[in-house]
Amino acid sequence: MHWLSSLSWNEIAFIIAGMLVLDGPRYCLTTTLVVLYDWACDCYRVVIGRPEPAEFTHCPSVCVMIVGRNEGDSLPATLQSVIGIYPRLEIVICDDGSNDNMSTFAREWARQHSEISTTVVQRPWRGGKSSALNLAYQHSQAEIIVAVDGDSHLEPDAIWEIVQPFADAGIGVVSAMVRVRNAFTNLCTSCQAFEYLQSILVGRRVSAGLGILPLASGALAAYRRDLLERVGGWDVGPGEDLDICMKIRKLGFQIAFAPYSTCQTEAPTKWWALLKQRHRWDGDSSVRHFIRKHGDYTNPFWKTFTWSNLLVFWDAVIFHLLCGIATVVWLFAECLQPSNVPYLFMLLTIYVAAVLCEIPSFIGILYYSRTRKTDGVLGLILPLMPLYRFLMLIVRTQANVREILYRDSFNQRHVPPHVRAATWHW
Amino acid sequence: MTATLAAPQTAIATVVAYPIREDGFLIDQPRRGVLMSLRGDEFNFELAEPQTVRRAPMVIGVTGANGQTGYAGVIVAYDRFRADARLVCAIRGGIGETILSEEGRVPALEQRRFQFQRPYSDEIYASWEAVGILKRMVLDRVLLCPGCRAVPTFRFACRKCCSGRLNHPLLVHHFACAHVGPLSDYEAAASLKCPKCQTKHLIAGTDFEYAPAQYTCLDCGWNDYELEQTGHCLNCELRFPIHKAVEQELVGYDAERLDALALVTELE
Repeated sequence: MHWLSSLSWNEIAFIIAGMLVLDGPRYCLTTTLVVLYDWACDCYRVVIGRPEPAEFTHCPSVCVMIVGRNEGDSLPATLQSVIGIYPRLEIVICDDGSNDNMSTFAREWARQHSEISTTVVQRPWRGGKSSALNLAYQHSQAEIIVAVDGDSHLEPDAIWEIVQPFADAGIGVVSAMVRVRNAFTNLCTSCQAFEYLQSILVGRRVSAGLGILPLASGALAAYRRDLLERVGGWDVGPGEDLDICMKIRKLGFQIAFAPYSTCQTEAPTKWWALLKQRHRWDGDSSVRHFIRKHGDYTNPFWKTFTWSNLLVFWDAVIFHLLCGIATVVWLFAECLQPSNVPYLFMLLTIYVAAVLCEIPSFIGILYYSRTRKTDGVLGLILPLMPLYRFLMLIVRTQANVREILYRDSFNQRHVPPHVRAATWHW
Repeated sequence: MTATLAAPQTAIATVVAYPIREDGFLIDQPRRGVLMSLRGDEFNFELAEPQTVRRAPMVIGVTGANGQTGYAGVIVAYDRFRADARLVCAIRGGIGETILSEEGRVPALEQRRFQFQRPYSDEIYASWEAVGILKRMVLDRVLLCPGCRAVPTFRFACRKCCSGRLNHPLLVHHFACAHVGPLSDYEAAASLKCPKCQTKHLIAGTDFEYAPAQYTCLDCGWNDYELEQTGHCLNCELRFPIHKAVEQELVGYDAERLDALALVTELE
């Protein structure tokens, strides 16, 4: 305290700026509020003796779409996880020009499980994930389209949980919980597992509660079929999952979060692979989609304008784009203008503050989690999370800057070259 | 052709004769003898047999100097009995020759019912095979209708009802906006126009590609990407998946036909 009182306003502003750009206070504040609100609601329900609402009351027809390329190895487990988990279920498997045995296996599986309506679509050559999704969903008449990645394994109630929010006619998309299957392989996967818990289990719950959830992960997400038709399906990626959610939001529909609809996915085990993945994910979101493609989110005179969409826009632009750039600028400023405060001591203070900011979200994880024991063990990684976040922030900033300068997302190999060449460069 | 009973001559080959009934069955035991002369389709031979045997058509097997036996179906033009032998003048023809001919030995597709048939019953061929006139051989293996054993047509058809009446619309994938839809949605005046992004004058290969589309059965409405090879019986109209087709050996018979010219040449 003595040290803090000895600082000038200028120095305190630098420290606060550092904390702000590390994104900690935002999560800290909103998470605390939402967890407290939910806790109060639960307490109130217990006090007045109101029973918990029935779990599954909504049962629309569902089509599980598994779209992938060279997923022959992981497809068996994915399909196995879908068997018998929902009554009104059909499956469409779209092989986007694989070189492995993906479609052969899918056909064989379909023959062996004739009790489930299964359609296997095989494209002779690669056309990209977006067009494969567009091709696949047309082969179903189901009301709800559930997109599942080829390497995602669904947990038993995943489909039941993900369709429940659709009982509300204002919900257009439902985002699900994505967990890391190989969470305890090494430090890299543990950090990702904890990050997923924070950003999805708690973060999306908070965003959905505030009505500003912009995204449903491509690993497991559910869409109303009629809305997919209205928005013309998916556009060319990358970031097609964010893009379609933004298009559906423009129609006036909200994105809900189903925290207990869970899929397990494989996370990169090498740091370099993780950085490349994040570079790919982050490069297109803020700049390409929010600013360049869906800039009309901020136009109050546009027919699709809503205040929640405006909040979504500024949330993305401030915390995903500007904070990263500000961090880099701040670091340079600190290096070039040494203050009176010992530099390392100040960084340590910021780090401790950032760790403290992680605690509310960890409490949130434990409050909402149904696997508290496992998730609690993952909490041991909490002191390292600010460092991990800082690394991710640097990657995100680099990806954003490259997107601003070079439109890097249009050169990604995840989109076939002939599609890249033909699509519009937003 | 006028057949005459030649005067007794020296034997030029051995003969074994199998009398046959009008329906094709062999009668009794073969009669052995010698060939005295031959001229074109006329054979004069002497058989060692009792006088009671009547003038039934025959199949004769003539064994030449090389030991090979050739068979011919004959009808008896004249015969004359001696004490313990019978002199026969026979002309190639009759039911024996019919059975020995290719049409008689090999099953043919019957045009009205589309079934493979041989002109005579299996028992007749079996009896001929038992004495060594005919040799059984598998000509082919064919898939037949499980209902009536007629020949079906095989084609890729609906997996549910096996109908070949299918609709297969072309799907178009527009690269720029990833839209995938039926070609009919893209068709505008004199060119193609994307219904999603309204881009006009699309060029195949550069702007779009054809994507795989589902087949729709016009009979039962079944949709699927995969068709199944199915049969449609030409006789009873039964439709069935190919694994239900009856696989059957197409059996014919081979016969060593008597070549008179070769026999004469051999004798000379």
